[in-house]
Amino acid sequence: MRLIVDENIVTVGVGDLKVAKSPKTIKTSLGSCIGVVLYDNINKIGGMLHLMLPKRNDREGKLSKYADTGIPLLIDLMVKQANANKKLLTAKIFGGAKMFNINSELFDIGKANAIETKKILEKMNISIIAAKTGGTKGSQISIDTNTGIVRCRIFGGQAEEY
Amino acid sequence: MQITKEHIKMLDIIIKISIDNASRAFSKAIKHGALIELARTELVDVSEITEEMNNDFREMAGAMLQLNGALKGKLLFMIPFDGALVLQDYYMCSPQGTSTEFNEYTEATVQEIGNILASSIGNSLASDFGSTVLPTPPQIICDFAGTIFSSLILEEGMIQDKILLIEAKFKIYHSEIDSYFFLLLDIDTMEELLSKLEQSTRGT
Repeated sequence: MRLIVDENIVTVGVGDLKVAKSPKTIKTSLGSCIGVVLYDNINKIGGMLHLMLPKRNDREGKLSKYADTGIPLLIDLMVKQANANKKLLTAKIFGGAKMFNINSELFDIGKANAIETKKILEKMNISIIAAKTGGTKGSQISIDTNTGIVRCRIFGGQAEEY
Repeated sequence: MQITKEHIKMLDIIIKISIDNASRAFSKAIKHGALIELARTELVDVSEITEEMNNDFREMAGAMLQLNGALKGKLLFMIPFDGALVLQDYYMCSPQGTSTEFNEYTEATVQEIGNILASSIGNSLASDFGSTVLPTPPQIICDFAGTIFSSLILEEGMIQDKILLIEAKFKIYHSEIDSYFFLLLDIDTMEELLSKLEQSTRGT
């Protein structure tokens, strides 16, 4: 595997989440999964969740794989471990593409992920201030925890800032 | 039943033989010296392996297909766009540097390489396990490395936190091409086949 080692870059894998403070950058690559980016702009604390499915239901496995358990977990970690202020948190969401998949049942899981993500964030009283979801291509996102700006580059396009 | 360390050791040996066969088939297809080397056979955590892969921000062309039959799984051959152009020239027996633009011929090359690898490995595994292995036609996906890899492991990653992954490295002599090759095996069917093999080995 090609590994880029940079202390200020934190990478998030599928079904995982990471929290970091300024000046770190948190990044991931998305397909049908949703990347939820939360940011406390006063304390400069960022969190990123890379979720795979909308609801956990009776499944076992990591809580961070699912929107309904992963988003509360991310908020909990940001507040209790990183001392973020929940009232200051805002959200930006990305990904949820309609990707190629061998199993046609998973063909539009991205849309279901996006819908559930918005529902959960609304329930947790966190405003979504930017969203770039859907499409048919993957995306790369990164949040600069110093500014809260998220750079999103969709495959085949230029990077845009949110 | 679970995949044990002994199972992994057995599988490692079997896969090495399959990869050797695939290496020969690959060299023959591109009419140039090449070597495929087994890098790892292990149970890996989905989040950890995708975190590694998400550090590669390159744009890639991938040939992905499913293995059906007694042994189930998926196979992914993935190469950066510039590497695919070099591969295309080898495959088409054109002077290096002829292919300059990624197009349907490049996609077809990647697809065909995926087909050759799948057939070679599928035949080898079928022979070793005494079972049928039926690869589907490869489908091409062009996207970021991390995104393509996520598509490979998505279904399995939804059900379990660990997956049985085989990774191999490609080396094409006198070139700087690097590419990825992954074989993702269904744990349940693999465990059944390995246990049968273990029993038959003890019985002889």
